[in-house]
Amino acid sequence: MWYLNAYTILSLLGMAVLLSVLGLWKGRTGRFARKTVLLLFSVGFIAVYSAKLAVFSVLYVALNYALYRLILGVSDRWKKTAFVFAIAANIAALFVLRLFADGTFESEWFAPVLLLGLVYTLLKVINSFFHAYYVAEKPAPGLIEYACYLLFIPTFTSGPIMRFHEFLRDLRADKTITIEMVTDGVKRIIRGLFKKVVLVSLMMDGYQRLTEGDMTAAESAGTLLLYYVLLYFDFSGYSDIAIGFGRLMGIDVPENFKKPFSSPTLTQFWRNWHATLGDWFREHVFQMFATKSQSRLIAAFMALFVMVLVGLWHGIGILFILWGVYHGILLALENLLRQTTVNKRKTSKLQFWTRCAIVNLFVAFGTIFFSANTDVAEKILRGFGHW
Amino acid sequence: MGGKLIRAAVEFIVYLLMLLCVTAFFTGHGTFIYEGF
Repeated sequence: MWYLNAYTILSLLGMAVLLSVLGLWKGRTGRFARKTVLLLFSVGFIAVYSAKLAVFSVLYVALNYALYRLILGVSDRWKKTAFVFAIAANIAALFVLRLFADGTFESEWFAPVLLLGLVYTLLKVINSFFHAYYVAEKPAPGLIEYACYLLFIPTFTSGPIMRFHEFLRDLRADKTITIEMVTDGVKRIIRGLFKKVVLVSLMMDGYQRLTEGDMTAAESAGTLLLYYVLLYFDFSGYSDIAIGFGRLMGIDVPENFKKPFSSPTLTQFWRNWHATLGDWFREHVFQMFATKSQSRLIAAFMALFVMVLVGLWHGIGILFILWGVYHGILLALENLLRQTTVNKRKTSKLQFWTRCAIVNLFVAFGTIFFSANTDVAEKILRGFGHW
Repeated sequence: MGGKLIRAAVEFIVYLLMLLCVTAFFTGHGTFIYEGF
């Protein structure tokens, strides 16, 4: 969460100005200069934050680039094996690092900062392996391009999750930053900072005050709604800042929050809330197992399975698993009852907004598991018994 | 034309106020650097 550091904002603005100036240098040499400067800035930025994280990131990128080239280079017979191995090795590495983080293993080489943004980087790495396995783009991306993708500072710690081919398209383009792009980007950054620094701080104070003592049912409900809106401002604020800086640097960072409060079904909600995460799981997990003549029962099971995975991706803990199961069951029910999408034009306004309100209430209730704090979760649940 | 100008002016003031609030929060916490994450 380095956007809460004002020096971060200033250095990113400086970088954006430098890249804009370099953008005037067209052609192959200009593009090479831009990529090199972007990479040097990314590694330097991480090194200032933590030298250990910088060394780890460089090694992580180099190893994964080797795996990427391996998938591209091996014969068709071994391609699938290399692809599966590369993904499994990355998931196992993250799992082991998490065991170090929770104290199961100990080592003087380990520091919790190594996990900063790693869950997001893992998804980008897997996307690059899919890219190598299914697309095998030519010319093959070089190490600098690959490193720029994984270490792109605006999205490094918390997304939005970019697709490798989209990032490459922007990185390889001769883009001139226009005045509209600058205005748009700066406005987006200010909006994001206002949400993240001002609104979230104020709401967090309120949330902490509410969860201090015992609660009544009304306070429990209020706490959940407040936490739900807080999560929205926190995360959409972060995404706004990342998108804004992306625009200033000539990289089109995808939208992450597409009016999620006006989603009439939970399925639609997950296409609008943290959209890039939902898209990632749809493209990399759901699609892998989906068949043309998929029955409702299989679709329901897959929805449950994917949501448990999403829960585990957020963190290894009983509350995250429960959160995944809760959303998975709701999505499975929508699939079984054929209620996954509602067309706004074919529904009355009253019915549409009633459905949106119900979906939001269900999601708000689900945040009880997302607080990652069993004491608070218990307190809120007990509060519902005190009318 | 006049409407557009007023709209742009209002938008500018709103963004300026937001930026001022952000700066106040950054400095109001006693430090320009957020410790930890």
